[in-house]
Amino acid sequence: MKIIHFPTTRLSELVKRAGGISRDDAVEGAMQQMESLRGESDDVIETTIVALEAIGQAALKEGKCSREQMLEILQHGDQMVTLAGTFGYGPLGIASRSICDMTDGMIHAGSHDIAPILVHVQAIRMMSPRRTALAPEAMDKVLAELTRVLTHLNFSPISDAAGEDNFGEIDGVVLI
Amino acid sequence: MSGPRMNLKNVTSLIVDRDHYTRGLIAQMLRGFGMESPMLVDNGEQAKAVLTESIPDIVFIEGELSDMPSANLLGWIRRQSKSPLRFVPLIVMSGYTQLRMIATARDGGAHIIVRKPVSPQTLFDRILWVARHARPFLETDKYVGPDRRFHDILPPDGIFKRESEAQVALQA
Repeated sequence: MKIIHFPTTRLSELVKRAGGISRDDAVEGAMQQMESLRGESDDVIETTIVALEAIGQAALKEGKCSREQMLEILQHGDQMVTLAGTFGYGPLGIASRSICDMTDGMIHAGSHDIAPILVHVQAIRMMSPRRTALAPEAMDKVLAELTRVLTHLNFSPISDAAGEDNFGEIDGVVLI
Repeated sequence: MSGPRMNLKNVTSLIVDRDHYTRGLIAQMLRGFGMESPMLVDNGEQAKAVLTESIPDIVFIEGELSDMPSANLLGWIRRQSKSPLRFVPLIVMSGYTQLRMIATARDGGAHIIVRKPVSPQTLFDRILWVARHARPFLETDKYVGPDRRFHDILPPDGIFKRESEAQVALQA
């Protein structure tokens, strides 16, 4: 059985009202609100890097990185991708996506190797907003190394595995 | 050019996300748009409790909830057959590592899925799109939610992903 409704939502009624805010003003207002959170965001990024370092050290002691530790890395990495992207820390965003891609690949491959994780954590540390920024050439070199690690391990980005191409994605919006 | 206008005063919302900082970020954007302060919860059970008491005008749901698959919460909302809650626009916000959940969220009845990090521009445009483009709401044995096919309206980027829909649009 198939029933088709044509509902009117309160949201669609409310946005039709006169007045309101233009897109530019809305975006500017939102940017100002967000900018007030930048300092707090930098603190969260720093705390997350410390947490990643702690996982790396614990794994080093144990001689392997456990699945639970890798899931934790994914959670931290995910948050870093969001924060770095939101506040315009481009290289940190790339490195954060890379650690997610690598860890996700390791989980699926059943690998417990520590070295690639430590390399990523060290790279991310160098990109902390609380640190003096690396020179562009040095930054490129570090990012190229991370790419090389992923290529060597033959892991592809999570976005590929998710079949994003099948859904399409424009400007961060996944179309369904 | 100042772009389209949208009156979001008195629009209420609920944000479901395990990360309090992400919740705060989205909430700040919505306030910047002139919306009411959103209700914030960190998991699916809390969301159900809030939604039992009140119906927000729009709900933002993390791609992978901490206590249940997001599709469970989506399905619970969509199957509230006696409440207007089931028609509420649901925007799923997927983190980078949650991208595998896209199909699940779509089939759970999400209006649209947005990938984090989301910019204020993107968020504004998607709210506007969801608000202004009414889609038929389907209720079948296997699926309850907005029509997943774009017949009469353009998708947000104006590009059809299915050849058959593009042909229908051309013939219209």
